[in-house]
Amino acid sequence: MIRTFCFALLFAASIAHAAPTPPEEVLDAAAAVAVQDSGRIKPLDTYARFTLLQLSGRTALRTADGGTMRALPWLLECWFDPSTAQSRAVFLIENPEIMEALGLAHGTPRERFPYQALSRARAILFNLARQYGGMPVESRTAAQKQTLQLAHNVRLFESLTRTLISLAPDPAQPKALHLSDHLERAAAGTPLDARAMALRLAAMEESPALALLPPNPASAAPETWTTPAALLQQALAGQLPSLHQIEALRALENLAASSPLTSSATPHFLQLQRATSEVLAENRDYAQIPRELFFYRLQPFYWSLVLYILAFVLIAMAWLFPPHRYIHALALLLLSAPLAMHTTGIVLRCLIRGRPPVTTLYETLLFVTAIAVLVALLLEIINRRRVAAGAGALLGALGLFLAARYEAIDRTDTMPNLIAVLDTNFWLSTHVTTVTIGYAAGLLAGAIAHVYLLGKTLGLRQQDPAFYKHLTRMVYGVFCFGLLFATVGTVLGGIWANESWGRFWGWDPKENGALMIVLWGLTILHARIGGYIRDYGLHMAAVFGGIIVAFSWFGVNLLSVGLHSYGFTSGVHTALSRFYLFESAMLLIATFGWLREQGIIQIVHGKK
Amino acid sequence: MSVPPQGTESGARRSIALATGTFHAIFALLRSFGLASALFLGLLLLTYLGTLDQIEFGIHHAQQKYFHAFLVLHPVFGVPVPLPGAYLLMVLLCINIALGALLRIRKGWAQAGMLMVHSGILVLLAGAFVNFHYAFDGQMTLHKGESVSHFTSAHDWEVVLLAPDAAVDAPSVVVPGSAFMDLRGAETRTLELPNLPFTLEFANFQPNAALIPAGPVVPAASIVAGHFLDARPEDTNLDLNFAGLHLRVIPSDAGTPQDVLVWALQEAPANLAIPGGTWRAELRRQQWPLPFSLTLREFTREIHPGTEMPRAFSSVLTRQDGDLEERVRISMNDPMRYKGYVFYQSSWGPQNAGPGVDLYSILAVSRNPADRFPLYACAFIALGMAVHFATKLTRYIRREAAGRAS
Repeated sequence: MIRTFCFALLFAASIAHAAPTPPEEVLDAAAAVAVQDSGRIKPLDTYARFTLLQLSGRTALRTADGGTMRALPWLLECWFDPSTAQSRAVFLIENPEIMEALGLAHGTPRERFPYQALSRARAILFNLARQYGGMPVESRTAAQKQTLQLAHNVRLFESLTRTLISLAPDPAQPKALHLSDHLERAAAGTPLDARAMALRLAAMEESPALALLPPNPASAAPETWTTPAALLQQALAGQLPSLHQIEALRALENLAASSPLTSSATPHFLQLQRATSEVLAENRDYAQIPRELFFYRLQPFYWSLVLYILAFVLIAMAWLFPPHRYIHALALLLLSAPLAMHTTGIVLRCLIRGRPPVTTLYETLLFVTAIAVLVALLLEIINRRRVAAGAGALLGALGLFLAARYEAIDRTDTMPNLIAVLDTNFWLSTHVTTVTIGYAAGLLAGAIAHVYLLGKTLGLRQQDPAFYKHLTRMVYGVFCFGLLFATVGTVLGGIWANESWGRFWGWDPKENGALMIVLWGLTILHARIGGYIRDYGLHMAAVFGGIIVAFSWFGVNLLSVGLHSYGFTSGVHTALSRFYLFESAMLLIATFGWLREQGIIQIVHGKK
Repeated sequence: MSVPPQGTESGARRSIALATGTFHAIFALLRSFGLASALFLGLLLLTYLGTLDQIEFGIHHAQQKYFHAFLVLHPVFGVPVPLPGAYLLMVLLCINIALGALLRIRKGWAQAGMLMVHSGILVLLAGAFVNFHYAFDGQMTLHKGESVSHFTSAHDWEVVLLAPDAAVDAPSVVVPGSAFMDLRGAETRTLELPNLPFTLEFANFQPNAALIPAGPVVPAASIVAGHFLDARPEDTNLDLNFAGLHLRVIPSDAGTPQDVLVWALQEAPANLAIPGGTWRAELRRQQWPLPFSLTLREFTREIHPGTEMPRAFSSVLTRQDGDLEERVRISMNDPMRYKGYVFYQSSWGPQNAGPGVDLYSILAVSRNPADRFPLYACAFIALGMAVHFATKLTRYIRREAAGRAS
């Protein structure tokens, strides 16, 4: 019965999906509207992008007719045409347990549902959320956390669909004054009709969460943006709105009376932009809106990823040809192009937020990848054997793929505000940058070491010992380079801790992770100088160094203790376990290769 | 001319040779690259184990067990396996660096960088040593308008004794935690106090406990005046641990000994009936007096607009040192350094305060004679590395040039 109902719903939804999208002109005007979300001023386009990501795990919707719908048109649909928006399958549920609990018919364990399907189970969902919300955070299971998030998402969606509803003119009284008119009169000295306004406020109850109206610099909270309902509430309490706020409110009312499907909505979005621009002329975040729009339109990391993959495939093909000047130049060019795009992306982010390149875990992925590729490129210029270029392209692709996956798992704005202790550009740019350069070099050394170990184990290029000598020199160089940065970065971290918390070293997990990289580097360095390990040992040590880097970078965050721990999800855990497993297998295979090279194991080829 | 017996001489020579040989062998081991590698590997293992230990037992426990210790008993499948502690490994590392990297190394420009790096590491380790043995830290909670001239430890306790006529804030005797914090269960320690009419005996220190009325199953030995110290698991947040201690007072004139239980959350000090007047005893977090006082004028907490996320927090204080009064400001990442003490903005409360409620400020305080050692060490290490790379690079460029010329 439920299944039939859901099919009927999906069918209805598929008809609705054919709805036309707003013209580009309207979308351009809407994209640049400023909003305040999570304490930051950002373009409506960014807000739409991350809201859709939070709800559906994607930044664009796949419609039933096979097309795609970008986040901003989807958000405008929520505002202007809630009933169609309710029929789109946006709510991602990744746990069959939750679907069962809510009585949702499903075919796969990971599915997206429309609001219409969820609204039938709304009472059950909120009841569960109330129960789980009362439990201590650390004792909640993954399914319970996801249920809480789903309830939060449903509320968010409901509030989005109510953004303009309370502002639309009442069809019964087309000539009635708008809220903005009442407030304008009040600002001019005519007292508000408290009873009528209180009734109006009651009708606006459960107002939208998104703060679209700019702050009033003369109020007690000169930086906090507001909503129409909050504006009216404050006016009733005697705090009258500023003219800019009234202007912005009027723009929203005009929008509520128009349709985004025609260019008639454009002037109202522009009016909303104007109303905010005068108040925020001095605001740094606000001034960055055009750049942020450009950043998301450019999609630098997406295109870098594509180019890294292409570069890797072509460089791998070039391995089949003997060394030549042009092939070398081509390899350099192939790697430089995505690196340039990648760097552009990082620089744009730095400019938008006015911060050094690494401030969040997501940004470490971008930065570490860029540094690894850069070092590989420099190695390629010196060494010309296309091994470094290949390893660089592969690491570039892998790193940006993981960054995209991380964004999809984390589902929050990747340019958030920072908590007080991290909000220091000096230490972020010195300590964090140096430590992450150490990570990059450690991973690159590990990556190149794979070539040596696999080559030796499989018995490739046995007639070319110079090739292996070159690899050893490269890995040793990169390893030492990484050790240098990891050491200086770790000590700088200690000095930061000493400046901020009064202790140089507290054995906090993240500190320990960085120290482990340094100690491993020192062990190998001294063991090599002392003659305890040779080439084979060095390469195996570099691969193990990669495991330690991964533990320090992501592993310790999963322990969820200490000053440095961040919010985390199980997806990272799975990826990390796979990495450990893969690298351990690599080391086992390499051990086998070493034993064979030493003559301890012999493989008999063919029959006697 | 007397000739010493042949056999004895060769025996002596042999034993001298043996001794010299052994000495050389030990010396060679102490300065070897092998020992250096082994020490780094050992520290790596301890760091890993100490990190995992924190998940269950908290950071303080891991520090004590793995990093401040000479010897660690690490459980492997429930069987305690002895391992060298980080303290021991770092002492050996100092010896290894001094003998291997500073004495043994050829002295010349080519080695200048490495000499500097290793000296820098020694400075860093020396800083760690001074910090471990001579530094102390604690915290200070300040309410608006309140003046405070001491700070308290987070993990150390002390027993305070008040003479019959002493005021609560002027203790007659302070017994530091080292006298009793290691006593568990029935273990006792007696402390003779000069010029006092009694002797103290300590027993059953509980790092976290509750003082509750005794039920039927409580062993009689631990009941005092109908109450006993109920041990609670230690919280990883040290502020939430409330210690308890069993005190026995033995009057010097051979009167009857008296037992009392002191507990961190007791409302009033426990009374000790001593001939000649009633003394009082109290267990509290260890306090250190400051040679100046601080008064909180204003605490401000800024949040990112429209959220609950802190953007900045800072305390404006008046510092009164003798006749000198100064206005100072302490904020996140910007501590106050004064007379060897460092004050950091660490936290505030109450955490769930509504609007309009006056917040109190919590400052972390430390006194570390080696406060600046890491900074000097880091500069030295970085400079040494730069010199080392510069020498290597020059040599490489010269060789390349020579190669091209030939």
